[in-house]
Amino acid sequence: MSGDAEPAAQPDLRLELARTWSTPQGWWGVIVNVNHTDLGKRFMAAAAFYFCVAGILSMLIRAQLASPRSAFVGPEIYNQIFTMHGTLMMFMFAIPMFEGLALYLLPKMLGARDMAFPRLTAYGWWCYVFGGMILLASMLVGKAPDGGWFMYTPLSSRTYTPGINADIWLLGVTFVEISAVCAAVEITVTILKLRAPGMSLDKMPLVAWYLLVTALMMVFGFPPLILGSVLLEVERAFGWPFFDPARGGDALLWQHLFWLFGHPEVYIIFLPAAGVISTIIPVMARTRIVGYGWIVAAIFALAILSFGLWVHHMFTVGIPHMALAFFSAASTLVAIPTGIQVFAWLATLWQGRPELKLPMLYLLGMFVVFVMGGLTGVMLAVVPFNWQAHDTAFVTAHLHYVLVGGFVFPMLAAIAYWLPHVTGRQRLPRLGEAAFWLIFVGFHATFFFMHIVGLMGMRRRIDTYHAETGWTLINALSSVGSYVMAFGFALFLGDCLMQRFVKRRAAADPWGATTLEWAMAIPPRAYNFVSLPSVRSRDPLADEPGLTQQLKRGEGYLARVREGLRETLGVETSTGRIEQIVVLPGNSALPFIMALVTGGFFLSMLAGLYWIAPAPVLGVVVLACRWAWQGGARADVGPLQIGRGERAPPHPETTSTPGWWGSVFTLCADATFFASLVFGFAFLWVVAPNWPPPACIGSISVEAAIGIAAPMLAVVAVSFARAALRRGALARAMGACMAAGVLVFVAAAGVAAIPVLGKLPDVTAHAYAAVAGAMLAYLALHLVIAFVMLGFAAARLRAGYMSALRMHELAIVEQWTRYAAVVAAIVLVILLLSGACR
Amino acid sequence: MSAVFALSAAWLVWAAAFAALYALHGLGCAIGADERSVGPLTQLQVMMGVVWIAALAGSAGIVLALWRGAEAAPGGVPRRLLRASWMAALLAIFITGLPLTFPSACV
Ligand code: HEM
Ligand SMILES: [Cu+2]
Repeated sequence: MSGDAEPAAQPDLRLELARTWSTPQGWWGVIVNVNHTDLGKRFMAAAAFYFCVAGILSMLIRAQLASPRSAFVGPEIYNQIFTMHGTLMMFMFAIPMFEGLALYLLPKMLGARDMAFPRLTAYGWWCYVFGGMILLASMLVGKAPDGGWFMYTPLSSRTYTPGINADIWLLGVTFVEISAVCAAVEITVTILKLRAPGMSLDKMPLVAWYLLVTALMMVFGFPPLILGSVLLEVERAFGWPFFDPARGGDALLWQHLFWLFGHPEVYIIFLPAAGVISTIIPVMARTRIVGYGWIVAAIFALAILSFGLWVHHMFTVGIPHMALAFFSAASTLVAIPTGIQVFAWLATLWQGRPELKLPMLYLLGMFVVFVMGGLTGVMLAVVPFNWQAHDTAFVTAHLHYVLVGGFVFPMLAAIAYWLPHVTGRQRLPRLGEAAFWLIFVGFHATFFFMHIVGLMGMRRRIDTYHAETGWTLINALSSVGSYVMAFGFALFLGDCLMQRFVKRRAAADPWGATTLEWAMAIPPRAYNFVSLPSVRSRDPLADEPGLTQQLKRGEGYLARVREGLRETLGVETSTGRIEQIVVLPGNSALPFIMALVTGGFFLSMLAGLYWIAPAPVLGVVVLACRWAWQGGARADVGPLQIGRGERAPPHPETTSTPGWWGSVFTLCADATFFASLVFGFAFLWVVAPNWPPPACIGSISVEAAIGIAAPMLAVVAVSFARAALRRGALARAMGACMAAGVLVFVAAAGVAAIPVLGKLPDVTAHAYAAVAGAMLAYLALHLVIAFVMLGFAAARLRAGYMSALRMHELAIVEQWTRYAAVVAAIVLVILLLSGACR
Repeated sequence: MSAVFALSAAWLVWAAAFAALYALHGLGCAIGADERSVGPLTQLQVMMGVVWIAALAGSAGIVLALWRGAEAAPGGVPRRLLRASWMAALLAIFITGLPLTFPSACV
């Protein structure tokens, strides 16, 4: 490998890497840190904290229900308690927990030095922190959300929840969702682009497939909820009647949008856990996974099928039977891919020689609990049974069997399995086993009995019951069970914390695993690998003995530091062929500041200070430009040495960059948001009562013509700019970008003219005008985004950041201009057609 | 990405058929298409039936093509996986559409 042209590995390489990837000490370091290992650990620790908070709330629930006519808390507080328990568990524990695990593990398993967008990781983290603070604060002052974790309207509308409680949910959760969508885009791009050279998709560790599919599901699954929250908040704040049946809205629209997110959410939580299971089982059984390809195919089936199930949460709302039957059919179909996975796991255990180490013990717990949850799930998928059991404790029991079996047990297994990697230490013997039995027995005691009281007619979410119901004994047993379980969790936590004090070093690869995260020093260094591996098989550590040492000696790729830059390799998305050196940004306070300003927006909305809200929005735009301005290069350098006799260009000189892909997936999420809005329009039009509306949109042919034609011309201008740049004609390219900007501006003016000239009927009078107004606002927003981006492109061109080689930034701007043009065409055509609404 | 598309394609067809059936159902019931009869069937049944059969025929065609054509692996995904995916999706489309045989559509 050491040809003469090849510079020898830098002698002080590790020092040099450590310096390049390090973070300052102290508070400042906490704020500017963008490293995936640190942020992943933070996410997991915070998620564990929220698990404790929500767990304490559930203890309060069980204390209240332990005896009949309990006066422990009143109904108002009780409503807040169970709502916050559900909300915190779903949004503040489950999603962030797996995000943290993904952030921590992915680059290490894929053989990279960091995630694709380190600053975005940090931004997501701070959004999560600030959003969580809003939720926690509301609980401390007794104004927490109290409408149940799915916030059904009309209960959550102004009339029935006049206080701030529902706004807290809508704004706080949306804030946290931003963090989730950021993470989803980042995980997707990291898996597609930042793998070790040679790691084609079919050589990825299985968990990467799971995380890829989960992240894609989030890209498409979260926008409907974000839309729903935005609409409901606008209804509450400004009186636009999206969900008010008296004015052409429909409460069912909320249910559709919520469960369009809510059901896939269940799989978004389950799939990463299943990924963990598929990773740990073969290691514990000392074999390789059976049916890799089948599992991958099953994950895709599961993911897409899960988008066709949402109405099974709405079986009792009076939807025609035939429609229910569609969803019932789809709901039973998901059992097949789930079954394939379970059988692949069993076959793997069968083929290997399983050892009952601690992670395996938790996985056995998972099998028992999850399978039972699956069985009750199939029962609930049967429409007539559902009519009986809906909204009873049976459903609560079912959902906890699925969530605890499908997520909590696998996560406990994951912690037991990867904790030595995080800390570099061994745990104390037997504590974890004791914790397992307490949790396992306590869990069944708590929830098995809830099936029974549920079938006896006990509804969920009730704060008290009479002794005559005969539920007393069962409820008391269930509550005792929950305290046993709580002891178990406390013991587990104690076991983890003990590692701080009991310093017994763990072996380098304590479980004999075969994936790349164990090919590094533990606890890991900020740069992960001294040099990056080249991968030839799915189990690199098993198939290439000595790999770890090789990498440590700097015999892999990028065994050098170039000009103090943080670098890792980018590959072609499918084959894993090397495409570029990805230059990652260093420490930065921007994510923190931007999240603060974003938080300012949410706080001003919460406080009802709507006139302040535009200021933080403007702030975010300015910061986003600053953010995007960093990075890039002002000169062409051409392909550089990357070690092992190969060369690759730095990413600004390539087209298929992480940034480009990130923009694609952001647009996918954005388009889903838009599609949900259009669905809402169609839904209300077809289904909602009190249509047709009192007034239709006026004649807008001139405005529409301008609004459609100008962005199209802008798209032409941007293609022209690209062609000019390719020829090296910078001045022309700049002129074309500016012309495109002007055109987009003209279009925005045309769109603004519609409400300004009074052609939009009163948006508070009827849902028709409200949705039309929402679509216009969406369109205007995207014209503004395109405008800002085009201006940005012109400035970058001027400052020398683009050349015939460095074109990817312009390509991204082109995507967004095109998107704005497409949205303009769709929105304006819909509005033109709907002019005949009566 | 091509592997991702290859693995999802079958299910995306299922999703499209599913969405189309559900949308047609909502629309048809709203405009009273279940009350206008076309021969022994209702207009709604005809509309939805056409979508269902088209989706079935389309995916059956692809299953056949995957069985016959050259042993290429689109997107690097092995043939047997694609075949299985498409056959499963075909079955899923069939099962999802079965409620079309219900006697009444809009109650
Ligand atoms: C740790 C042990 C847990 C216990 C003892 C527990 C207990 C409970 C109980 C008793 C309820 C019913 C409240 C009622 O109907 O009045 C409930 C609701 C709920 N729980 Fe848990 N839970 C636990 C863990 C979890 C986990 C891990 C999750 C999710 C990841 C979760 C998600 C939910 C949700 C979504 C609801 C419904 C809230 C609502 O009705 O709005 N729980 N829990
Ligand atoms: Cu569901």
